Amino acid sequence: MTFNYSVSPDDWLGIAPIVVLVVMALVVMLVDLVLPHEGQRSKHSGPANFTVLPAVTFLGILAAMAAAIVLFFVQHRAAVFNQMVGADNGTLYADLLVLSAGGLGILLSPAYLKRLRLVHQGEYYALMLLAMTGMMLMASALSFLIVFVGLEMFSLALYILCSFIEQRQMSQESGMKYFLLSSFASAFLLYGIALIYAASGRTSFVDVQQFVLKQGGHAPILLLVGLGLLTVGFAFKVSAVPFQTWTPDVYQGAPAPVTAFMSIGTKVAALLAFVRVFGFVLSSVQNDWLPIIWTLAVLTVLAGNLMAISQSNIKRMLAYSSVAHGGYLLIGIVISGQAQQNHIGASAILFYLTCYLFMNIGAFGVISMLERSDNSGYDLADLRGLWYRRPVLAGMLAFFLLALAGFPPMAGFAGKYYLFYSALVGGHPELLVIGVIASVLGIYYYLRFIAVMFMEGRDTPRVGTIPTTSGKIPTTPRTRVSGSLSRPLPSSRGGTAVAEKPATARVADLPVPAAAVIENENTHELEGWSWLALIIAGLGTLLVGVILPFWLPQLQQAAQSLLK
Amino acid sequence: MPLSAYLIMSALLFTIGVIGVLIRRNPLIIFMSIELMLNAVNLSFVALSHFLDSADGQMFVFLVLTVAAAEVVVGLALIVSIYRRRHNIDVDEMNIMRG
Repeated sequence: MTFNYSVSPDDWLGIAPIVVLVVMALVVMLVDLVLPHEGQRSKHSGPANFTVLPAVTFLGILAAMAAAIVLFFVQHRAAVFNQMVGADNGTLYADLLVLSAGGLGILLSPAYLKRLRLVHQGEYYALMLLAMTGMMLMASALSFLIVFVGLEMFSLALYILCSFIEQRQMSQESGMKYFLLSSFASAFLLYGIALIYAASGRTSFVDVQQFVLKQGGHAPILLLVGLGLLTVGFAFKVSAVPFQTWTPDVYQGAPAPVTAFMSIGTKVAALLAFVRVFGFVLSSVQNDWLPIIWTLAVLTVLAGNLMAISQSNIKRMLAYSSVAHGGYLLIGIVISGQAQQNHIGASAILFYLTCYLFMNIGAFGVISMLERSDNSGYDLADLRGLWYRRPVLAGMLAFFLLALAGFPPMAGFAGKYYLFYSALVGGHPELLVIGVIASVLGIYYYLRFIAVMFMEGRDTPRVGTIPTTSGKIPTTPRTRVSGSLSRPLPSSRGGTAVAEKPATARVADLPVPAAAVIENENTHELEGWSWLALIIAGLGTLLVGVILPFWLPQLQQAAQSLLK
Repeated sequence: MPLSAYLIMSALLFTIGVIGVLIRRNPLIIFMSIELMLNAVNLSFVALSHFLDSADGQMFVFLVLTVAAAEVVVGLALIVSIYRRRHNIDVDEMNIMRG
């Protein structure tokens, strides 16, 4: 055994976006130390915490984006660190996707954190940055070693972020479920890697690909078993059916900005690794794995859409819809295994992820502005007549839901169009048919929520319903929110003043208009951030589809670089 | 001992871990079973690294150990924080969300 370890500055330059993010995560933690904290100077965690930290974080993300864009134009090496980490255009494109998702998630955070009175903000933003680092690392992996390290890096950060709201049982439960199931799945992934290593004697993608090529179209049994276990691990991360059970629970319990970010980020990371392993490393034995991925894709597309229909909670509905969208993306993996058309499948995945990023973050962003501290406020019942209470939010939610359903002018349509087109070109017309049928099914549940917002509850002012889930929680957290405010509660915009009394138990029993509860939280000054995120997501949703034709050559070239 | 002995041992340990995760209801035990699975994989990696005469396996073991340690930190912290709140950590009772 001999080691030959040599790293040049060029290697570090190739992963500049990742380096920038890690440095910024450390900076954020340091800045958090010098800022005044609750109990030190002011009773309410000072306004500085709520604006300085996200501003620093956001600047870090912009810097990393700039680094990725510069590398896009000047990079001259496709792989760095002894062919272990990719720095090709496809990787940089994925980096930009993760950074956009993280940036939008961070813009949504300040108002949300303030409303939920989460004080540990340094950790929050640092963990967001570290999760993004892990995702970018996994997306750029050219070796199974890096796949594993990246995967664990973002998973560990996400476990904590999901359970970040200590006072909310649902959040803790979501973190715990994610932790147990995800580390279970990671162990399978790891065993799969060990078996592939046993069969081929190598862990880097290029070496394994050389080994597989020599097998003459039929993989040895050890490799096949390893491949199966690897698929389990990846399928868990993209929440493919039947490994999707964690998705709705985790998405529901986690803080909404985190959900917005992780629903995209984990998909980008896992799919890029997926497409590299299956479209590049194992493409010569595609007859062995194609039926498995084909089945996974079809099951996921159909089951995701069917299960979303019965959901009355929009976060859960969006979770199942993200399962379904994961299924559409798996269609791209199937196509990327076809020898001639593999770059079309991969570019369809990249494009679909871009579309999905803006619409999904937009939808979760609206939810993050509606969500109350007890994790209610976005049930079907709560959304009734939203148009008559908060017309702009209702309009934006409807816009994003229509985009997710795939209505023509928006990004969702363009993404699906190109994906299904790639299925046709790639010789799988049956996937086109199944995908279209599933999309039509999907329209139903998106429209149901839109109909409720616009067509119902016009005359009856909405009464604060106790959410179905809070029956098991001893005190309704709304009580605690109004009780913990030390100063008089400002009267709501709607003119419904909430009595400021120490004995708030009575107040909670009274019907409180939903708007009043939201207004009480006094987050106006921070909502600008959220609105900015929503506007960016909205513009992205509108524009991405329109510019596709001009953009396709670069996209396909980037996709090709993924598969080399 | 031949390589296959190590690999079979590792597969057995991994299976025990999987069964532990599936049948036990205490998150601590589930967590221990997951650690067992990771260490079963480590055993394969070390054995393979020796027999294949390649360093990749040993690098993997280092990283898996590190990751396992990090997972312990996060996992135990989560379990403690849940226990503080409900004095019960049975995974079957973590069912506030469903539908």
